[in-house]
Amino acid sequence: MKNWSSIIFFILIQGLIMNALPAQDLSATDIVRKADEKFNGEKSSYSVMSMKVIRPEWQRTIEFKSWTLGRDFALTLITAPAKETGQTFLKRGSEMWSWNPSISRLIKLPPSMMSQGWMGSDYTNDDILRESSVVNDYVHEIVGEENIDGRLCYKIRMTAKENASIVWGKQIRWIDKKDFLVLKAELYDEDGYLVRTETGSDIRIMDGRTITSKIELVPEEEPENKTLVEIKEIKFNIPVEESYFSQQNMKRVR
Amino acid sequence: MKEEFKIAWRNLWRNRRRTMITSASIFFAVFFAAIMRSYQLGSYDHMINNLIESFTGHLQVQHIKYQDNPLIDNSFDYSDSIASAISGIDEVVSVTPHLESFTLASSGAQTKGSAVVAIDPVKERSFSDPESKLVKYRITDEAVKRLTETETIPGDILDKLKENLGRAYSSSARLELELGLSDEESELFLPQILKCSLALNGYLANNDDGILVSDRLASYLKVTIGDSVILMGQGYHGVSATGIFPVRGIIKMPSPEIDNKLIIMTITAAQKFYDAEDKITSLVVNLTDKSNRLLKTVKTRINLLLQDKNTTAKTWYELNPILYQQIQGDSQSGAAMLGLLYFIIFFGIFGTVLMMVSERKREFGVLVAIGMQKNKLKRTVTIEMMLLGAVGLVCGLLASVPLILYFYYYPVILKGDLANMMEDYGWDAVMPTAWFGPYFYWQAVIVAIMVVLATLYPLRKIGKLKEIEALKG
Amino acid sequence: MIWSIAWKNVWRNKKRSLMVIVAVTLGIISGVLLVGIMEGWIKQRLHDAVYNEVSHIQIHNNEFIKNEEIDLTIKNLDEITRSIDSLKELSGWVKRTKIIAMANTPWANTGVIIYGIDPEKERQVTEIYKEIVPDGGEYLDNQNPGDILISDKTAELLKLKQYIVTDSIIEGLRKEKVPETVLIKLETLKDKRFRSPKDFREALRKEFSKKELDRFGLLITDEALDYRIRNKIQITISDKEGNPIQGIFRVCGIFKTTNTGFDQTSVFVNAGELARLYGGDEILTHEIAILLNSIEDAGTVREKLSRFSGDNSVRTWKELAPDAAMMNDFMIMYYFIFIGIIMLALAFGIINTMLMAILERTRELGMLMAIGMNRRRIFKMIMLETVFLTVVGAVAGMLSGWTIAEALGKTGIHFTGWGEGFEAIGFAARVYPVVTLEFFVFTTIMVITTAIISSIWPARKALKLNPVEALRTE
Repeated sequence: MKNWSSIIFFILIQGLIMNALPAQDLSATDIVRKADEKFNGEKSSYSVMSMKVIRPEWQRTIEFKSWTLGRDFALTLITAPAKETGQTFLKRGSEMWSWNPSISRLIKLPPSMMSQGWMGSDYTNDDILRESSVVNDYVHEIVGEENIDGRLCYKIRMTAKENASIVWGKQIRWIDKKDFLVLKAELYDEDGYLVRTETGSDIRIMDGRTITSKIELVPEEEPENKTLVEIKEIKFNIPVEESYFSQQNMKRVR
Repeated sequence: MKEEFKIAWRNLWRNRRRTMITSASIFFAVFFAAIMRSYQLGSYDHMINNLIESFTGHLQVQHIKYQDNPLIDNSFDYSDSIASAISGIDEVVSVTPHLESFTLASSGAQTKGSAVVAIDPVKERSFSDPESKLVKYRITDEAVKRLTETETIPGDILDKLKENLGRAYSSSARLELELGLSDEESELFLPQILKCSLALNGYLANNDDGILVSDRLASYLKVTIGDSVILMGQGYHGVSATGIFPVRGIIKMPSPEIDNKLIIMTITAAQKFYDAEDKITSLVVNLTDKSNRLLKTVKTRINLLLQDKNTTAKTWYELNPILYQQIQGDSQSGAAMLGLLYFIIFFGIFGTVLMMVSERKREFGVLVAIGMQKNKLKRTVTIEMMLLGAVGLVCGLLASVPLILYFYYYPVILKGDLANMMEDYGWDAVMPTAWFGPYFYWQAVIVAIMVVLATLYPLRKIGKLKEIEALKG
Repeated sequence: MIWSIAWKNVWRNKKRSLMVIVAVTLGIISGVLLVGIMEGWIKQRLHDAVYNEVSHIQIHNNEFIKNEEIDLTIKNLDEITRSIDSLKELSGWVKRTKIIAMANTPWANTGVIIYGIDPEKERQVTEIYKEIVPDGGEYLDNQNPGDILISDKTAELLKLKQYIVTDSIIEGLRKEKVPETVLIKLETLKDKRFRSPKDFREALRKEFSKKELDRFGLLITDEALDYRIRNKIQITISDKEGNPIQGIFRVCGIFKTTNTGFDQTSVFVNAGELARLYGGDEILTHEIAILLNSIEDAGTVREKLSRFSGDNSVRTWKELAPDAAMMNDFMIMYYFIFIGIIMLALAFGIINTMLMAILERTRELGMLMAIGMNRRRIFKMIMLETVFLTVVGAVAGMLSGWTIAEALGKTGIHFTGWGEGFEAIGFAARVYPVVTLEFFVFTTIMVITTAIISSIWPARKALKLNPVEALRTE
């Protein structure tokens, strides 16, 4: 169920440079695909991240490590706070599992578990399952260029295809021309109302790549709510096999 | 005036038969009206009271956002002092705290979403009383086998037992009702049947860390007393909540939907589980009665006591507007019935008066012809009617009293499926009358108005009287 | 000869005769109306449960009742189908897929039960197709496989029930004679979209005074209501291995029944489309709902079907909706006692009338006796008169009772519930009295019998009198 590690990864990956292609030769779909292909191009990854959930009345920070292999495999280990430490989440294809050491229990997670946002955050069910693809499920169009944080970006409008299994009506993405980082994304419903804004910031080089190390999610209807993800460390193309992503390993991983 | 009074009095005595009949129509009118209304209010109220008291309670204190969003994040701090202060209000019968949430329950390979209701084991006895719903008897294969072996139980009863294999009961009364045993059969066989189907069970101790599981959920999860169930979900402020809980007892809930998914634990255990220290989601307050006036006054008083600005008290009809509307609808159809009754009894009175006038036409004619003033005659007749009315009303009300009393203390007992279900919910399966109240005297008032209206007819007739025609008879 | 005297007597004293006739007529009409209202009210409460939710009988796999897993379909479907089709009490039946699911929109999500149905066949068994709200789109049909039918409550939970004030709405309100002062205030809310009834009401409360809201609040809310028909909903279900599968459906219509609990959890799609979601071309059947010609047959049909059901459980509406059944039984008892009381009151009223009518004739009867008429003959005469009058009353009663019952049966008796002011949910109940022929006849016979029997005693009493005394009475 908790595949959001690959989401984070996925969002990040768009900012990675593989090749620098001259802007004029790229179509909108190409641009988006490039960002996406970078993800697929990377066979695997290891990352250390923190997620801060901010609400008007409280705040919480969770820290975790993640391993991913392609699109289909992801393993996440919670490392902080103390009450949550040791929990692991495994995604294998469309299967989602969770392991809780305090009760020594391995559970397969049903969709009903996801009604409130993972770990109380603003990541929804849709994000977690992430069966959709930004490349295939949308029709893309460059609608302009804008400056975000001093960087020139393509402004791309993505309209959801008729039969695609996504709740969104459309998205607008600002993808930086130089490094193909997604600096901002706005998600809209079908009626054209903004539902959520995601921003990438704090650009750094990690493991030789340029990435946005901070990602912030803000729901439109409750601007005081935020989910802030920070990447502390990330390594690409680590040596890892499918067998690593197993139920036994869920219990052993440190 | 005195003279007219004397004449009226003599008139009434003169034709006793007529007096009796007219007065009887008024008597029956108020008698039936009082009884009908008493029954209406008593029985329907009994049913609704049961419903409200058992489900929402008369009032609840909740976080202001809780009703729209029943999440554990919308809980509030439990304060002993406030709870005691509320209990201190005269009309408050019970104050019961609850902490409720939705959680995944798991055992072995089975996982199911369930409703967790955390209670105070002692205080809850005065509200939903889960202890009374603990499964006491279960018809297992074992039980049937042992009973068959005793060779004392007749075949048809054994068959019935086999038909009900697996069923659980929280009371011997219910088991008896299901098996349809006659009084004799109960005396002879019930003790044995009860003994063999006795189920081991337990309740929650104060601050117990165990849980009670509803019967159907327990059988789905394949757990029984002593086994453990894992609960996992989201706690307060997004924390992951996971824990293992030993099963202390199994309860049988009358509604199959609830029986499918209920877990009961102590508030302390739940607070620990959800990381919601000192928090509860509602405080259920039951009063001595549910009149709207009382509800409103107590609600205001409670709101004054509440110090947390995020909490508020709500009445049951604010919490359950649909039920309220249904009750309104029912009470209006009841009013229609009452209206029909009034119509019938008015007709009874009016008819009698009509006929009295028609056959006293000659008498009136004579009186007016010999010189009595019409007004005087009118006053006399009016006094007659008032006297009749008074006697009829008083006697009618008095006559209804013993009946109302009787059916209040010995109400009609319901039988069959309906009775079964009511017993399951922990209610008395009876239809009582209501105790005396304003409604009682209102019936007299209404009938009095009818008498007045009916009196208008003879007055009018006298006014229009033409002596000669009257004398012709 | 007695006959003609009796007849003449009847016409001679019009007032008295009329009283008796009217007593009998009213008695019949009241009795008929009473029972009609009771039956109508009870039937209606039950009607919704049966025709919108549980039908008369439902069949499920035994295990499915405990745990609604996707592979726990009905066993021996063909055999069951055959036994159902052979029932003579059958009115209609349908198969349904029934899966627990999550429904998502960009704004919210909620747990639901998704029913895969055949929309055409479903009309023969349920009346949900009649419960589409105004401006709430349309019922499901075979032509649009990707459609989903949801309830008003689900729409609210998913934030698809929205409110927006536009120019055309303000125009419309102007035509409805809403004062300009109110409309100007509405302008401030123009073109803002509110995603829940609560938000909209909050906004209205800020702009308007309580008085204005009490008068126009409901009208404005109704006009501003905007169901997002044709928006998409994402459905997530679990397949046999427990892995999540997702699919998109578009809202075709909004329905609303009297049971919000049912409304909240039920969504409907075409069975075929749902099957495509969980893979395989085979449509899974988890539930069979059966409608019979009469609700009374439920018990017997259940017995019949249980014999062939094997591992499936056959349940009647009473077991499926025990709360409704309990209320139903309670209401029957409740009304029964009333009717008893009212009938008693009626009987006493008639007795009183008859007493009056006959005892008032003491003088006249004395006269007859004095001129030599046989006491027995007189008795016969009185009884005959009573019979005439009662019969006339009965005919009048039956005719008018019938007409009234029929008329009310169509228009219904209107009970407005608690519906004052802006906060009201607005509940108008209508009772459609239902009168069965049997009860009609029964009431008539009962009233006639009461009338006749209650005249016996006074008649005899009058006759026992000494003619001389009788003559002296006035």
